[in-house]
Amino acid sequence: MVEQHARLLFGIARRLSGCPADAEDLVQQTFLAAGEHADQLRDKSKVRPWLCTILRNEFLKLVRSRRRATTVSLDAVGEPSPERSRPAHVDAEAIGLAIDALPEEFRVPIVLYYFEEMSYREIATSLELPIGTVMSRLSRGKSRLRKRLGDLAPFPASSVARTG
Amino acid sequence: MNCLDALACLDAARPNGSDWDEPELREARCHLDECPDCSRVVSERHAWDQAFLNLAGPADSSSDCPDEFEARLLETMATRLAVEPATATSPATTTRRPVTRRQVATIAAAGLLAIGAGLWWQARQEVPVALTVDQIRNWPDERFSAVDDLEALAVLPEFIAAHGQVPMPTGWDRSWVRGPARGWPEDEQVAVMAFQVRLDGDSPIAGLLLAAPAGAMSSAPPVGDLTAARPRYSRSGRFSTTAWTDEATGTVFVCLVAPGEYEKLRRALVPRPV
Repeated sequence: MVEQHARLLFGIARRLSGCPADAEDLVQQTFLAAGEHADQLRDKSKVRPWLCTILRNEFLKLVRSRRRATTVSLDAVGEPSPERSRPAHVDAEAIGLAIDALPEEFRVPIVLYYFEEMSYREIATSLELPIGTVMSRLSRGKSRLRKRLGDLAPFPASSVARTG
Repeated sequence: MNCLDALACLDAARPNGSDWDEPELREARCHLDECPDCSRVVSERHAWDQAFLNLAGPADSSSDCPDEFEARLLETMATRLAVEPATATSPATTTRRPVTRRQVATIAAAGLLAIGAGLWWQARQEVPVALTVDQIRNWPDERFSAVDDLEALAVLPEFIAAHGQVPMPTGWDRSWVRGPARGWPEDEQVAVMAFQVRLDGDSPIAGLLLAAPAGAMSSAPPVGDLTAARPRYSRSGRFSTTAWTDEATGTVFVCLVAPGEYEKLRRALVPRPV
């Protein structure tokens, strides 16, 4: 089980945590929790989504405990300078770096939104945050990514910004 | 609602529209119906999201996964699992904080000391109980479905560590073995391997191969290979089992296949006349 799924879980944990060392600890914790609750896995063909769910829960537990320990005002987090940090060529690595560069308050909802395909309501429940806070963080996090990565699609991203 | 507020709200919505009926988005959607500029921006942003996901690739494409990550993980977990029963204060203590690698190192060091002392004490106190082939044949069948669990990983047999890998029976191809050998949770002398033999024009035969050093057995089966062994059902009737002693490697093997599969396996192993 470990050899079959460790790399996939590491990839997800890496995106969620933004740090290889934390990702390793998360994967380890995931397999330990899986071992403890192995009797809950009724259908062995679903071991992969089961492990991913455990990983996500372990990560959310970690995030919630960290948030209780330290509170950082998002207003204190400065806006990045897009011109200075924009990569010349956007690929998976550049995207990984852009996600890593986000403060945790933005990165976590962004990763859950894009890669776990969670709705803002599900993210709010998981992170125990108000819905409005999650919506705002998603919007600001995505805005930072767009600024940093520039145009990815044939269309200019966020080219219109006007008040109605 | 103005354009900026509407776009900020819709940024949080799923691109597939699955949550567009939520009350928080209702006003923004109304704005979208009346504002072609915002409608265009939302379309562009959805295209950007899609391109972002395409470029990001699947999660398992992470390039910075450390070398030998799996091996290190298994080692750490084996240490944790071996140590935890000794360090647990009560069964009710089930909430566990994430363990950092420094903590693991400390636990591992303490665990190794405890295990070493335990082994030394045990070696002085007890003579290991020899296994019988019937024991291996009739171990509760439901445990065979759990041979790849973490408990098993924690007790990799000593003779695997000594030899580097489990010996294979004469005539068997190591490529038939699927995945690494595991230790048997209740007996560290026995290794368990899942195998699959592909047959020309027939469905493959899958089964389990158990191996134990002949010295650990109370008596070794007199036959020298699978083709000469007489199959017997396990107690539950779920497996057809055969046992033999491989003289070349000094190992007793027990093979378990589904009832009716033994004959196919035997035919596959008998050398064909040229």
